[in-house]
Amino acid sequence: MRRKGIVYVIAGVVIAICVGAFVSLQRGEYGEVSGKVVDELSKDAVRGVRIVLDGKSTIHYMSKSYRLTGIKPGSYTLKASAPNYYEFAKDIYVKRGKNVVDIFMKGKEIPDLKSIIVFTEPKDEGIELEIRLVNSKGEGIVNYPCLPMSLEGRLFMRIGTQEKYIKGDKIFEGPIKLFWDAKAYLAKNKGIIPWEKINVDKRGEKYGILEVTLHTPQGDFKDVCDDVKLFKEK
Amino acid sequence: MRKIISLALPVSLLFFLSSAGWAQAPKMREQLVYGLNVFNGRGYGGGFVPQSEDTIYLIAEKDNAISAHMTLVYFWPITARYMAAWQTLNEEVEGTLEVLKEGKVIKSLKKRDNCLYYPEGYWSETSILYTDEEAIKKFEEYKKAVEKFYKAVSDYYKKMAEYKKKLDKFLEETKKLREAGKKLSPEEVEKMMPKEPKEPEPPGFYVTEPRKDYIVNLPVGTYRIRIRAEDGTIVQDSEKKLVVFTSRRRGGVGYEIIPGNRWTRRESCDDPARIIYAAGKNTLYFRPFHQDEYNELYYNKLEDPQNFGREERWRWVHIKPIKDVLLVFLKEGKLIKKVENLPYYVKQIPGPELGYNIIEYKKEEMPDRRPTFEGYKLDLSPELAKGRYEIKLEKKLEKGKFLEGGTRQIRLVRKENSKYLYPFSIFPLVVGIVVFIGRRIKTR
Repeated sequence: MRRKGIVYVIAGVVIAICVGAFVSLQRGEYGEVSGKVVDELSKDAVRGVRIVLDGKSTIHYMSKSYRLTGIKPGSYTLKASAPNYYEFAKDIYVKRGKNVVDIFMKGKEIPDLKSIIVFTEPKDEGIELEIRLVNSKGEGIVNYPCLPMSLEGRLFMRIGTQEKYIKGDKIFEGPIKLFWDAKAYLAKNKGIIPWEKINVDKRGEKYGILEVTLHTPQGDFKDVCDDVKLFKEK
Repeated sequence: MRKIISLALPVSLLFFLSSAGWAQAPKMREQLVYGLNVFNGRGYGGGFVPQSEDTIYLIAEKDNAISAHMTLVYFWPITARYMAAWQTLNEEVEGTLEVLKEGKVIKSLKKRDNCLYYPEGYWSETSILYTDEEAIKKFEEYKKAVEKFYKAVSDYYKKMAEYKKKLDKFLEETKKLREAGKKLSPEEVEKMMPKEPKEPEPPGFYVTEPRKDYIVNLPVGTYRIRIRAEDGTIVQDSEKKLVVFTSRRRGGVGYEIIPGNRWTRRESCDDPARIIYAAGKNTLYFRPFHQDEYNELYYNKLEDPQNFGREERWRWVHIKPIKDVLLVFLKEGKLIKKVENLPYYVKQIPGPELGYNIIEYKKEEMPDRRPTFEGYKLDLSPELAKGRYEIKLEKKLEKGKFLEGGTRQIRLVRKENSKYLYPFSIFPLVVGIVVFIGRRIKTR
């Protein structure tokens, strides 16, 4: 009786292993392609990116990764496209199981970029600049790729009020370090002028006039900010 | 000491883990989800199908609106459900919805205009789905009705301003006449008094703004759906199983019972074999419905794709309220009374003590209110004689003819000697103790 029971248990285990192996073999017939899909420069998510492979496609707006399943093993061209980005194409060989291919999308242009508006805010490290990109309708541009840009500026002391003033001494001139703020809604491009580079006594409420020029692949854009706080706010 | 440590350690670990769980924000994942606006037997209901659900359930031979969206999905542990952050991301997935049967594409559906028409207003459960030109036409009809209402409101305010002026003039004149010593009869006052304009009523129906969705109308069966993008590719994660089902039985009579002492805790009595028990003094409001019987799993998933259910079980679903009947209350076949369907209003008792009264709704007394519910009121007092009570539904137009399946038995449970039942509940415990002690003595 006991021996019979053992035989049944062994038979059950063997059947279970066979079923498991069959299922995994079935699954293993196809490959899965996955990986990162990000902006080449900012490493931020690419809004509206469409990835196509072997008659399958996927679209992402806020995700930095993608996954395409059920791909027959073989050679393919993995393509990705997104508004305002250059098309990405890469020849790949898909093997059974998992295949990792990262996609770095190169920004093409900022749509309908016509001008910039710069806002400043004193921070612990220096004066932070918010660069808002404006379109032909005068609206702030929201979704755009990160492009290779450089910023330079000149900062003067402001003598007088915001309504009536004259330029005072030049207290800064030169390139301004740019950085990408992924969490910002409008002003993803930001810059910072460190306090040590600003030649001014930080005591007392003093204001400055900042003239900036943003060099972009779409041309140079200028703006003036006449209410730059030259002191750290409490 | 060791005991204390061994007890304190898991408790503190549990506390630490749970507090860590509180602090965690839900992790959001971008997913392709299906949005549903599906027929549920009485109207249309919404819902969304996250990636965790691989099947969509629909009622056969009815228009159902389906749409595909990219959104952020997160798991909400309090309700143990996936939620969609529509405000953060809601992008429609474009393409054609393909319906497959046994591996072959049987339908390729393009998005079509559709809207929901609520003939009894936005809050009513009844709704009708209109598609294509009819949807546009229906919405235009609603827009015109709303514009007409706004114009009527504007006219009403103008008339009201005129009325106030006239009223002031009337009061002045009557005052002058009284001062002059003239006595006015109530009829004369009535004749002289300006008439107050009537406030216009908003449209009694509601129509949602037309939107573009895939309209799925299929016979009973199991299918698969997927989205083919404009470039001919199949959109990843758009494949789902589609179960199209229908009711097993139709035309039953079910009751929703509103107890007078806790009106928000409604109960249902859908099976004619079920007995209604009423304890002490009780007022019950009966709401009869036509009902259909559906598979529990399919229907629960239709109502919300994340619901649970069992495929081998069936459930009755209230479809339409029965109104053209009288509720007949009988004792052992003899008529006690006939009850009419009436509207009721739940009036909150003002003041610090919480409570409410259910009063009969009369439009002339409460012009600015709407009835809370409609039903057949039955007062069951403990003074009612012992016996078998039952309710039936008599057709108003055919006196003496009762609606099939509408009979329910009512049993009155008496409370006065209920305290004697409590000792019986501890009887098994006493037996257990006696057996336990007896065995201990024996083993010694």
